[in-house]
Amino acid sequence: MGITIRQATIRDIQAMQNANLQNLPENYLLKYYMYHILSWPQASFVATTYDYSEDVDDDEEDDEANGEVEQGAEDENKKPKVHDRIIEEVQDPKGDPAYIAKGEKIIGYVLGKMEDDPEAADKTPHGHITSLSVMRTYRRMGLAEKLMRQSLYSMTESFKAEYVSLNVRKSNRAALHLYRDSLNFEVTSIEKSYYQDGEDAYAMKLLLKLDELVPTKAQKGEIDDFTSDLLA
Amino acid sequence: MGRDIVSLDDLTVNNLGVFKKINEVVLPTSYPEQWYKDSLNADQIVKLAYYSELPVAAIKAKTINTSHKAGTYEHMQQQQINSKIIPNAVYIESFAVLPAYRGVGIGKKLLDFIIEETKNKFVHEILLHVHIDNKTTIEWYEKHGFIKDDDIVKDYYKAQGLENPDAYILTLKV
Amino acid sequence: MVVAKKGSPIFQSKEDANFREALKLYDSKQYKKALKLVDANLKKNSNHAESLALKGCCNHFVGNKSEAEPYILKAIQKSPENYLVDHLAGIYYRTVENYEEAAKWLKAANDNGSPNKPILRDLSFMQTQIRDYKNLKDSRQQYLENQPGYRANWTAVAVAHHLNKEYSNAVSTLTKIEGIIREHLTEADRYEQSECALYKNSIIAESGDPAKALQTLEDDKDEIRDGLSYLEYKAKYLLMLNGYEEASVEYRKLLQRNSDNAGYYHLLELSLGSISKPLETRIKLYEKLSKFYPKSDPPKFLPLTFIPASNKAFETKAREYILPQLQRGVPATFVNVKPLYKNHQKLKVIEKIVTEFFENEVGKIANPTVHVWTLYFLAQHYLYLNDLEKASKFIDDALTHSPTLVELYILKAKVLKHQKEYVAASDIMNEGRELDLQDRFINTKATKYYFRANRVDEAINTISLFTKVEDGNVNGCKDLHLMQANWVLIESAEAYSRLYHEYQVKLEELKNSEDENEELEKDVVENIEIYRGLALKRFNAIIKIFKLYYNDQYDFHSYCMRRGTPRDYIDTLKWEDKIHSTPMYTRVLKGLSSIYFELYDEQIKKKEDDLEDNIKIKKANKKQKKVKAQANKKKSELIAKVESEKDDADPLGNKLLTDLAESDIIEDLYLLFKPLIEEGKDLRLTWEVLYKIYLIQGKYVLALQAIKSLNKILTAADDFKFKAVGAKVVELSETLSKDPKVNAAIAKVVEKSLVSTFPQFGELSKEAFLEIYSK
Repeated sequence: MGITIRQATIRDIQAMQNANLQNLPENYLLKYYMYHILSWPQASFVATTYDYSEDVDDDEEDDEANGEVEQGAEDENKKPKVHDRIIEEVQDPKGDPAYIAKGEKIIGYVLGKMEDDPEAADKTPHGHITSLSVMRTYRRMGLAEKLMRQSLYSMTESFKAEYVSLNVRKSNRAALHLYRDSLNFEVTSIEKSYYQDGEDAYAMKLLLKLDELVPTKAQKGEIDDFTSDLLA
Repeated sequence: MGRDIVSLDDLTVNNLGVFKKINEVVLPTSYPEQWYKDSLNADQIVKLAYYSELPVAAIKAKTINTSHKAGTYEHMQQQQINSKIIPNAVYIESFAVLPAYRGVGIGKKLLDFIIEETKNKFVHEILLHVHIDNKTTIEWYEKHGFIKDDDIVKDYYKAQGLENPDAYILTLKV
Repeated sequence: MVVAKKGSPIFQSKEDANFREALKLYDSKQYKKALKLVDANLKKNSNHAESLALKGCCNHFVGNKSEAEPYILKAIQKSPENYLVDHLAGIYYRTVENYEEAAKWLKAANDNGSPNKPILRDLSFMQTQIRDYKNLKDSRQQYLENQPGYRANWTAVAVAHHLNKEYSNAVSTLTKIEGIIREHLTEADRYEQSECALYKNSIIAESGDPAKALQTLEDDKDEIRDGLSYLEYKAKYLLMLNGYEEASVEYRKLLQRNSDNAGYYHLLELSLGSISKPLETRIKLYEKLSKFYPKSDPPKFLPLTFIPASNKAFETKAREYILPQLQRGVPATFVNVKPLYKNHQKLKVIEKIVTEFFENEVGKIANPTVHVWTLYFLAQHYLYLNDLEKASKFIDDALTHSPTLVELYILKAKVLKHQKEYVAASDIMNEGRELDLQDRFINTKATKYYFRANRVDEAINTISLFTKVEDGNVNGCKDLHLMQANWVLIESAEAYSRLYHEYQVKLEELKNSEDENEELEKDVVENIEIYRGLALKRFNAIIKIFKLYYNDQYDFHSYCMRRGTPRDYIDTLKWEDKIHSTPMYTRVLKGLSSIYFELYDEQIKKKEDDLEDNIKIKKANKKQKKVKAQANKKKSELIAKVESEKDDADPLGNKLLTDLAESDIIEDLYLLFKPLIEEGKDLRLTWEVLYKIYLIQGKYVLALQAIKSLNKILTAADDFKFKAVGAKVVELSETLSKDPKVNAAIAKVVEKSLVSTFPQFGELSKEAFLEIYSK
């Protein structure tokens, strides 16, 4: 589908909170998301689906969205007809909290910040990843890595972050693989019983250098010199 | 991905359901709830195998002393070695690979794991029961060096409701 | 802090000295001690207004809340022009979050000569909170004049101008402080400097002058750290100024930063003018972009949206898009192409590609997971076509193949749901959950499906595996409330609603059945009451959470000025202004409106019944003690499961329900919907419900307006005539003619307007009219 990655805005936070509650055990009040967006607006990104002009979105979560378990009418005739499409266009958006607008649904996010604890030992400016998640049904598309790359680049650029830190559950192999193997983070220590349920965390860290962080570099494609004629 | 397409991982409280599911769909015999719960104990020899990050196979074994032979499937499952008795063999209690994922080296990898564990315990024998009708499995073990006992264990699977409930014992010296 | 002017004439008496002392105690939060002094004062002089006001505040903080406002009211009645009294009243109302009154009294304190300048700052927070932007300008300005040494105060004035759409004042304020501060910036100020420059820039653009915005952007380039905003602004301005070629370069730069932002591709095409070029040119463009960004989705996907299905290239490109995803095991492969299904021919091409792949290729591929992912795709494909038989077959085959793949259980459950097998669906989802207890996503799905099958207890027990369960609690219900888990609350509310409706049906059956079963009937009645109360309770929990969401902005009226993030702050205000039209909240309103209307009908019916016989009820009240004790035990077990907070005073929503049943239900509903008149004017729900409210209230002109607004939304898509509109037109007209109390002039106006808005209504018979409006 159309999936797009962009900087998070305040309009996304309800859906981000919802995604977090559905995906992860560590949850936050909405105000904490507000605090992120209004303190470090450049550090958080979202992955969303999007509508393109002729499209009427209806996907996995979508038809579960509305409270009433859906009645026959919707089921009976799923074949697209102009008629149905117009009727659907005048339907209110579904009550699914994952949606920000019609057809625009949050499927992943990264919530980033700068260290702002005045007690923190290290005074060099550095970032921290508060939370990252991608809906299970949208995995294996590299979205988490892409979200991370956007956040790291922007926090380095806007806040001069010299490194970034994060914590990951010891048992979370997929996350460990992402941070260590794909993004080159290093494990700096093990924090005993870091999580509510008693699980240990790896504390991880990555030094940040802006020119190495250009997000598309990792794709190893040809380099656009911005002058070649794209329509030739 | 850069990771091996087949990998082994530990059994945890979170993926215990996978272990159960694999055994249930592959094996004709059943295991009591307690047996699964006990699988999480630290002294158990148990491993899951993943293919492309999907769990597709599982093995569980325990140490035994062959002088205490149990004559039925149920007894064999219940038998736990007493701390006073010195084990002389590793017994494979369950070993299952989802049919669609056979022939790609997953079983071999799990067996290698058991062999390694056996060596680590300074034990030199691995054995197991196989249903007498299960030709392909018997062949597989023989291909991997197991020797079939000539004696048949009569009615070994009787309570499990299997037709023709006898079993062979297969042994591997390591 | 409340500042008392020393030696001022109002501190002449002993009372005043006492009061000053009390104020000090109050400021250091020693409310009880303060109260003692104040009480001593009032004993001597019960008219001492400052003491009365302070007593009100103290009462509030010591927990004697009902005895707070009366004292405040008495104080402001006695001395409305005493700025100390005004200030205390302001503080009191701020504390109870009545920002309207707080603003009024803080303003009075300032106008009445309080020397305490921070009042102005507090006042500005109140004014922003209640969106009194007109007066906000003054308070922000006055405070700046008092404290010009802080950049935050300049930013705040600029924001106030901006909110009043006074763009040039906003820009000049920002420019002025930029000039003053430029020489004194430290590294720590650079981020704020960058944000303020971009803020200024966005205002210039908003004022409708992209050329000046572009010029200023280039002038400020060195100050700007946020490279993303810089590029986005620049590209946008260039497009607006017809600088297409230059714009295209900026979009290429943006793509190099983020090649997964689909919007940039669209804008790049706009600046290249490629949309009107031959298809081949566009295809080639995306091929080039794909070489630059081989791991990005949009350059591969977007061509599928514009290449016609009949063109051979579509099939080639679709194959190149789909098959590698199936081979990699991308769970969303189907979801990724589904938008293309709007075009039935594209659907057919894709069906062919995947079916052929399944039949001819999959068997040759060594990796067994390709097989299962292809089955998974096909099951979704047929589910989309509502061919449930085929969908079932494919998903069952997939489950046989890979019974440990969690995604398959999700889809199997979905297929069952479409077959209306809600209980079986929830069982399957739970089976999937048991394969991966660590994954909250599948836990969420299982919980949701339990709710949909009305298995509320199982749902809450399942999700409780991922919540805090405090000692002594049986589940995580309280934590879910605390953590604002709205989706759980709404699913519970809706499940409870379905449950009480089920019991209502059961009750009808019992009443109509031959044999009497009083016990059973009583039980059913009780269940209706419990579940309806709980439904109301859960819906209201979300209303409460949204009140918090709205109040969450409060701290940021100050914080963002200091932090230097005015752009996102402005966004936040606008977002809060529309918060009641977001999907979750409107879903709550929808659920509540149907309960309210039902209760209203019952209220009417009860009034009629009461006139007839109020003897019956008394007879039913006799009960055996033993039965009651048993019921109580059952009830306390239920309460333990559903409490929304510690020591919940109304755990079953019983009070909510009885209070509501005795109130003006329709007016209460109106108050709930009132915010939608502005925030949700594009929603059908808004006008459907308001229409009904107005009709019941006999506000026919407003009812007419509601129909018109609804019609406007509905006809926006096409010139369709909707049943939802036609039926209302007829209903309104008939209600009017039957209402004996209606003002004749109003009736005439409404009738006339109905005919002029819907000419066919005047021309045709009722039946013929409804025939036309039947979509």
